[in-house]
Amino acid sequence: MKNLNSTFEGFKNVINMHHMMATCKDTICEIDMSDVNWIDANMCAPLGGVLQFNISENKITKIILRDVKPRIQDILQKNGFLPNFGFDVEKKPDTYGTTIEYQRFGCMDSQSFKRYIEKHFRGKGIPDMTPRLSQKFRESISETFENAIDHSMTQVGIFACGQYFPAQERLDFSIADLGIGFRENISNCLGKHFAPEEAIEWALEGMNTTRKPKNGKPGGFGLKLIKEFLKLNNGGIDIISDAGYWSFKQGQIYKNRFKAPFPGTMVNIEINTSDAQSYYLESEGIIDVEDIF
Amino acid sequence: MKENIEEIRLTEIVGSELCIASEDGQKAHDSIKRALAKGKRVKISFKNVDDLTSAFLNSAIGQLYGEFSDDELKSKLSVADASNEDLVLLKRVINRAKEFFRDKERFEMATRKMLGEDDVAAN
Repeated sequence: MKNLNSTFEGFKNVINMHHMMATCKDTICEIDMSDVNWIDANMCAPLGGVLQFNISENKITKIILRDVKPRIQDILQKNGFLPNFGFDVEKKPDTYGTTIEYQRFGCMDSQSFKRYIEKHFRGKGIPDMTPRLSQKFRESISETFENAIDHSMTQVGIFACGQYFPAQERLDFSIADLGIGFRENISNCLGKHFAPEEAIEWALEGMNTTRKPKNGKPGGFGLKLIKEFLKLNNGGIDIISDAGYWSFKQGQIYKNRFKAPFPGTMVNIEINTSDAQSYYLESEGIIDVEDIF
Repeated sequence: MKENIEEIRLTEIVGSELCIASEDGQKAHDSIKRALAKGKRVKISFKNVDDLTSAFLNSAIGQLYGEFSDDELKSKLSVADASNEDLVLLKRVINRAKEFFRDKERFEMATRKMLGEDDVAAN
């Protein structure tokens, strides 16, 4: 395994790991960690997702980590990642309040995600973030989680993990699902065929949605709201789905493609924690409550 | 004479200040729809709502636009105790829902054209 940063390279490393494991059958998977000098802890979400996916597919039966550097072990113990994969280690205390615990959720488990939000974010908030920014962050990850439930049809689960980086004044939170990605969903629902990175872009534009009126419920703009918020926050979002990579940072869109697909979707939200401004919703003026419907 | 109006407090239905999950929005929707079906006017209270998502509001309110006419909803629904920020998000959800259901006929025609009449009829 190589370093796992919240970058195109980091996501590529997760995808490569998945494809290596996917060739196995009932195998004990030994991961060589000697080259791993850094893991952005939020990357445990997609990493945990692919490990769990390959366990559920009987590709791997057990995971052994070899030559883990102490500080990497520290990260994986603090956020509770290791016990999820059979490692008999204690969870280390989060001395600096910068860790947001790794957790796997059931494929329709909104209530557990609410409890997760209550436990980790409500009341204590994130250090150095205004209460308003904390709320926008919570709402953003909730929209992302609901989007995963709505579109992925995953049976393996939804994986979440975050990390606050005080020195860089950023908070990264990742949500991964191992289900139907953007491209396949658009193709199945609408018969439109896009390149994987273009499928992500399509889903983030205007009124586009794969929802059908006959199914009764409008939707499909949670991610668009997040993008609007992150533009003003000077933060960023990475979306990886199928082989597509779509990223929005500092107001710029970047697209790329991996050589092999991720078997689902990962979303990484990066908040600029030093931001103290108010947000777009207030910038739209005062709404007349008598004229809302 | 007592006015035929029912107040539905979102946090009471959800059991939390977090109005974020689509499935919780569905519970709110069912209560609102029941009251409307009885001919009542409905006051939707946002009192104590902390976090709010479009996923919740689409379920709770957006889908009503596929079940009742715009005029009926305009005359029977009202909102109380909402912050301006809540109202802005709600307004966007409603505008989108109206557009979504307005497109219903166009969308279904396009689907029929794409799949062929027989495929649609078979579903």
